[in-house]
Amino acid sequence: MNIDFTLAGAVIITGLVVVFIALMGLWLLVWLFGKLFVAISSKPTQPQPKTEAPKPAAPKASASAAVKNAMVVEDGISDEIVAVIAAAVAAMGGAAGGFALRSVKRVREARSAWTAAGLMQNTQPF
Amino acid sequence: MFEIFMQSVETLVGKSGFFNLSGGQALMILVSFLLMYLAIGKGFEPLLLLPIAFGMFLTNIPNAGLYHTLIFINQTGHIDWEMLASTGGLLDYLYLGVKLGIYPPLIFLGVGCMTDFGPLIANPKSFILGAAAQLGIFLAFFGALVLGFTPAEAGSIGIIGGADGPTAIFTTTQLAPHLLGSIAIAAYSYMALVPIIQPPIMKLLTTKKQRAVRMEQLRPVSKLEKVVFPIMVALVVSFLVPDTAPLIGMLMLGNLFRESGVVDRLNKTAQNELMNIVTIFLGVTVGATANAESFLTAKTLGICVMGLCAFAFGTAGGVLLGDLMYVLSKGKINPLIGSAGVSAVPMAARVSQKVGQSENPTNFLLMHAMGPNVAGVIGSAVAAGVLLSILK
Repeated sequence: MNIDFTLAGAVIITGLVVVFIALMGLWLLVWLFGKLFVAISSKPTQPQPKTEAPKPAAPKASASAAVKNAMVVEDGISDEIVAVIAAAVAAMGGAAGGFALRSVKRVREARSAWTAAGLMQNTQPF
Repeated sequence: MFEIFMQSVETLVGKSGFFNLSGGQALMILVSFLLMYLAIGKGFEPLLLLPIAFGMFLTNIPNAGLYHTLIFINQTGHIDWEMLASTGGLLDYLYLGVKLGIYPPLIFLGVGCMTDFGPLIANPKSFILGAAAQLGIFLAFFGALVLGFTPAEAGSIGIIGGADGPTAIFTTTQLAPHLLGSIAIAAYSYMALVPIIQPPIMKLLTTKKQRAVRMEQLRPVSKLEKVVFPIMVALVVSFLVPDTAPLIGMLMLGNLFRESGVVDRLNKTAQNELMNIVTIFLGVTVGATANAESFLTAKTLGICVMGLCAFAFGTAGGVLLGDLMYVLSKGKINPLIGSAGVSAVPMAARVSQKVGQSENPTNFLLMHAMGPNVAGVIGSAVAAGVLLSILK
């Protein structure tokens, strides 16, 4: 066995160090850009009504009052759609129940049917 | 008249393949049939393995003169243009695209058009997993040296661990062109076997609790981020390792085509027609280099062994770093996504998904695993650049 250990060590150490430096550098840059873009994109959206995930409300009486008083429905969404969404939320809550629907608005970047179909196909076992 | 007829028949028989077939060529033709069976019957990376197998079949037909090793591998170390002009066959001319380093970057152009770097941008920690999975390249490099390969040959064998066909071909063409056929076949075969090679290693290096971890949903990535990303990666990586610029440059150009949204025609052409044409040329000509003299040697066996080790070590490196990140993130990162860092897009990510889902059927790791998966493509290209800069 005639191995040039100096060359072997140089290749292995240099290779691993350069790969890690390059990818860690990219990690840092992408992370910084991500923070920057998130900060920029969050500014104009502040005045808009904030969508909150349905949270269980403590007393039932106050929950129904909250729905009547605070629910914000985007223009163009019919009462039937709101009723269906409320029913779906209630169904997901199961026995726990007690949800308050505070806001109904269209999702800006909805996943298209083709994207959803692709996701299903890709996540199926091969 | 009859004599002339007999003479012609005698000449034809004398030149026919049946009369001139050597034992080695017969064996190589049988190997090509086996690879065709694996591609067609078993679906092992058929897009590449089928043309490779047929190229191997064609190059071993006696007296066909489709490919001449001496044109490309000779004492001068350069292409013998005179011999190419006088005796070059079809596959010799097509092989110029491999020898001159044209096809692999063009394949990367198409790959870039098809790749969504969104999961990586949303979770940039994935970069580090893509780096850890390159461990296999360098350990296999050392293993190949121990087996008696030259440093350049060992570098080409190690790059199999990058689990990236075009990168392996690009590197081998420059470091050890005489091993191109064996290395390409080993690389694509092991990529097809990722669902068999990886799961035992992943299970060995993780606990049941770790495998069941559900990761938080990735944040949405803006278009601006996706447009800036390829430019930034091309800039950083090409400045750091210029030898990898052809691969990373074309990969990121393709991705910019995709994300910019202003060159839809180019995007479609690069990922469909161009990609398919280049795949045919690349596959057939790489297969053509696998003739009996270069393939039926003990070196091929060594390449197969070390290629498998490269995949295994790469998987282990990614999963072990995933284990570390699981601890550092207090259980928020599923270490199974680390194995996807070996590239082999998207098969390795699907393996992470499958192994994770076997522990927790409601767990969807696929998008989380795509981050290390595409980071692995960048990582293996950087590793190839390092090997080329030191060993060329």
